[in-house]
Amino acid sequence: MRLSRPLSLALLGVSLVSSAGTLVDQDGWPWPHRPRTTTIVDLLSSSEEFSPLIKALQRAALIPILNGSENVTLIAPMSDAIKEFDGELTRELLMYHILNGSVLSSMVEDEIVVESLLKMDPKDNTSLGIGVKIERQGDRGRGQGVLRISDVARVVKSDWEANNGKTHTESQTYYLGVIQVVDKLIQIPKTIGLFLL
Amino acid sequence: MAYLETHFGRHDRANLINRHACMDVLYINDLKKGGNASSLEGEKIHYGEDAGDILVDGANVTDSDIVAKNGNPPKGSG
Repeated sequence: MRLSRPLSLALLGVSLVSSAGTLVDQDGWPWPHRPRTTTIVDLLSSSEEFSPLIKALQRAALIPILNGSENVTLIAPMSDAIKEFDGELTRELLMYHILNGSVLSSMVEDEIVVESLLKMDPKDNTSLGIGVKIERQGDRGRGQGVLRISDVARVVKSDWEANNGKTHTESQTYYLGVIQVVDKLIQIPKTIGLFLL
Repeated sequence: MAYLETHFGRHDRANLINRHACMDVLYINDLKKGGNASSLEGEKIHYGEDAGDILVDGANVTDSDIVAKNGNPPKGSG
């Protein structure tokens, strides 16, 4: 029986897939050996609340940095916070909202300062990042209380975890990053000199 | 103190400010651990916790971790 060329090719494709066996998993994901990832940007994209933030990150060309970084924390302002902000969402301001390291709320007993991706010396990539203070206010003894960032922003949703689907050696999920959702934007601090004036 | 505000006191004024600054970036959790750092003026600054208070050369820290935009130690410093 002679088959038409397109049908032959289709049948060939089906036979290859069937014989391989592992190329199609139970969920229909075509490449099962490729781990499923849920990046920080994936999480933000799941809610309209973060559309203004995503647009700002796109304009600032920070999406590739968020997608490519491991162990970062994004301080994500809600849409109302961005609407109320009286200023420009510059690349530097947004970089100040990205922290170096996965910061979970359980790590903040009293207060900590974490380096942001915004460097103190923009010409020197090895310089320290400008610090962001995170403190717990309220009933600290029992791990309760509210997390406040830079004295102005309140964390309204904490520990929204992104992952890359890999498993750590102790069979725990390896976190790609964390989002801490806040109700206000945080400002880049002044220099020491201006602060003293 | 009036002397320090004059033209004559400018070197001493600079020394006084440098006595209150060091090359390291120290947060409150660093101060609690205790230790010392070299001030820009040359003398050592000693810090640590005492009966719940955080002291720096005997002065009580009342407000901590006020982050600034600058303050990165220059390269080659200790």
